[in-house]
Amino acid sequence: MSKHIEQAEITGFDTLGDDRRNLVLTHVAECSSCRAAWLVEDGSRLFSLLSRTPIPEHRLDELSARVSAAVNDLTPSTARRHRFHAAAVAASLLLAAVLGGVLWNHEWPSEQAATMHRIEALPVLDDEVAGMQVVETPGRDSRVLDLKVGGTQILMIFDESIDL
Amino acid sequence: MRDEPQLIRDASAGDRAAFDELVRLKRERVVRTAFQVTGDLDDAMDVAQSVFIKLWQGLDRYDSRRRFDTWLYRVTVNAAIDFIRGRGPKGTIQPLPDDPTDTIAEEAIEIEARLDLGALQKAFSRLAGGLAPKQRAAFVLREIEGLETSEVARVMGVAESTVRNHLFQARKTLKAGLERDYPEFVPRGTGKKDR
Repeated sequence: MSKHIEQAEITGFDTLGDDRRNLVLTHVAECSSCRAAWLVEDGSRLFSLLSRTPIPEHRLDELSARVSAAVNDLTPSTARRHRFHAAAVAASLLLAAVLGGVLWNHEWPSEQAATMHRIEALPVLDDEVAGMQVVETPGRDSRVLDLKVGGTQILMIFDESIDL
Repeated sequence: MRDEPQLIRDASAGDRAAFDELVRLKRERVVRTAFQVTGDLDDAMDVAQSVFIKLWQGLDRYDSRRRFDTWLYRVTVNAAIDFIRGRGPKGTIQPLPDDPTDTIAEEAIEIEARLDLGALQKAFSRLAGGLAPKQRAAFVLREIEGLETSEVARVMGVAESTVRNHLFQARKTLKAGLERDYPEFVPRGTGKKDR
């Protein structure tokens, strides 16, 4: 057994460095008289000795195994990563092939396209267009049209400056 | 053989061997701290597992200018406190039963018979059931793990005065419990004269 601890180490236990603290703990764990003196300062100090409680090695090995398995689940292995990349490339190629086939065989609405083209090519309105008659042209960008449908007369005013 | 800073750098870069070595290096401290805070070894194992998984996921965010152990203690204590808060309505620790097959206590008795560490561990687990989780954590870090008060404050993310207050309350409760329930641990007289 090491020599008894000094009174200064008992009263100043809380300020000791790690090495000295460990020596005191080792001693008081074995020496009941020093332990008694050491506890007079503060009985709850006794629980400092629990720093020496060993954790069974087999439980620590069990922990390492559990952590390793959990991390494996979180981290795809290299082989799994390669398989994932190959699957991703194959899926992309398949998608491209399917889309290509669909687009290649698709019948585009050619009539509609032609109509669109004609709309763009429409000339500026004449005085009479498709049954409508221009009755007044107050400005360069304004027109008043008269549309007769059966017995009904509809006047239509076109003016870019009208803000709805 | 890699030193600890190198292990941390390599593990944070995704080196599994370095991470496994880091776990081996720190596992006893993490389990012991979690055990003293939760009062149950199986619970401590669950807490320790979650701590190391968080470590693996967050190691790349670790600021190497800070002390690694302080960071690890912080993660451990927070996980342990969260664990015991999830147990009961008031977040208190359930006192351990006097079970003679209690694993860690029995194994400890075999290892150190001079002071009955197993009995002392049981006494602590039972008495610490009366402490608030943060009081218990502060006591474990300061008195059992031997951290400076300033470091306990950094680990717990509170002011040093708060830690001192937690310690004062914890010591008072534990001392009273020892004298009341475990007089065999409490010396009569100073004992100094007898040495």
